[in-house]
Amino acid sequence: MMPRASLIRSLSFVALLLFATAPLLLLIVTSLARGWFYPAAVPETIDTGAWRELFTDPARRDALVNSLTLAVCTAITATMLALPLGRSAAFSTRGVRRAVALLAFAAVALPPVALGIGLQLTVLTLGLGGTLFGVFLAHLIPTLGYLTLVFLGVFTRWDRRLEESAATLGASEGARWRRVLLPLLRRPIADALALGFLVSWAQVALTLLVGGGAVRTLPLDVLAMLQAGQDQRAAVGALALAIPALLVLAATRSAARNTAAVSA
Amino acid sequence: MNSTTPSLRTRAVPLLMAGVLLGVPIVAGVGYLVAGAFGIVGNATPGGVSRALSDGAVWRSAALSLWIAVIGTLLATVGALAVALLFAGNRSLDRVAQRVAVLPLPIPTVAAAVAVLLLLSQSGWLSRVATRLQLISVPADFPELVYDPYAIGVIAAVVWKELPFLLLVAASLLSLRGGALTEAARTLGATRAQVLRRITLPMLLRGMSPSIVAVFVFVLGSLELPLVLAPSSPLALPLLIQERRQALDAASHGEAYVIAVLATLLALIAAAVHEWLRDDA
Repeated sequence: MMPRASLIRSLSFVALLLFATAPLLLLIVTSLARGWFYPAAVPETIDTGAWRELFTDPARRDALVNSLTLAVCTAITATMLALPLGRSAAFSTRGVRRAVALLAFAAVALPPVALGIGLQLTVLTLGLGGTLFGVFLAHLIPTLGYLTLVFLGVFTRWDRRLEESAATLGASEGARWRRVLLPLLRRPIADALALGFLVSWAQVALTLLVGGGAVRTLPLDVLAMLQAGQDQRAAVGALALAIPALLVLAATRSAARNTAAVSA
Repeated sequence: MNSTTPSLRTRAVPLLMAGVLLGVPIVAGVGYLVAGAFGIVGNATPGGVSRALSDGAVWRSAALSLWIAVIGTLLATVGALAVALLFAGNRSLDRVAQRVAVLPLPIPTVAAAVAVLLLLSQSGWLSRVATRLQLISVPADFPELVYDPYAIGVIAAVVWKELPFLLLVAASLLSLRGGALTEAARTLGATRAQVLRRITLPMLLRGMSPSIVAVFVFVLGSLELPLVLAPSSPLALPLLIQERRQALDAASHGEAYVIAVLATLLALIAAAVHEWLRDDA
């Protein structure tokens, strides 16, 4: 390769490194800096108080626990529903596949504010306004949309010969799922759980509207801290949101690739 | 796919499931919006449709939201293409670059917005560095990059969040389909630039188009990015809906529904385009 091309590559690499990591590094520094005001470019005192507060302050801990509960329950429920839906749609006709994909994408694409306002009445009628369960049901909608697209993609490329052989050899439906399908599906299921967790974990508008302010989650807590001018606490909350997300990505690096392949 | 004629069951089961799990909530949500817009349900007074549609603030908000979504998606796409093509190889620099670039992908949007605010605001870190370097002397000297009329801060956050997603799509397309086509073209005597312009770029853009539409739709509907980073006048469309919904007078509620229906229509059109592109690709 020519030296000029390799210079461009090196400079681009540095730019990319700064672009991807600088905002995260700034969050880390801010989360540890108390009373870090303009024009100080580096903090004068390092203080982990805001981090401890995340686990000790009742309001902040509740937000964290609510977020975790919602994300875990949403991920598991949506995976259990989207898997059979995506599978049956993938093995159906082209028209059915398209209809299901369109519905799933609509669930993902609807502006959360619009969907949230629309769902308010339903949730209130069911007596679930301002409850964690109501918010969970609302989070399920976009999550199901994403995961249906994932499993539709997985099963459209699926080779059915293994389960068909198992059936020919006399395996019952239950045995086919247990012995053949689930082991083959370990990876896509892990990916779906990860993606489902992230969709609920990052949700703002649906929580705000369906929770009616009564259900406080970590993203809402971060927004409240920011509006109160509490930069350090907001940065701690933002990192508390980012770290599990990064861990989830690291654990299932293929999750993103699979989703990308689906939407491609 | 099945070569035999599909039974009724293979069609009914997925349709029924999708109908119950996805269709019912969507129809309930959107139906309530439409009914609310026309004053059939809720406390809104009739006439909200004409009031909202003749309100200049609504169109200014729509214009701001479209601006953010168009420019943000465009820049993220260009960035993703550049990174994918520059680091397409299999050397260690390429692999490290691809890994580093996807770091922002899973970060929740709220966290991204906070990070961008801390970096770009007039008392943010860049402004502090500029002060240290004696380029500026007070925060107000620093260019307005957040809460600014061009929504530069929001667009920056959009690019930071969405470039990695589009990069993953571009990279997987390159590794799946790039090699053979490029080789064939090179064998036939095409130059590097010709291959890029005539083969690689069209192939990438074609394959990426559904994902590009998806990014556009997400950005258009995002509440939290403009909430943290955008100007308060005009408000981005999701914020305007929220503001009218929280207003105390019933007339504003009706307008909230109308604007929400407008935003939903935009999203549904994009969803249809998305499916059409997906099917074609």
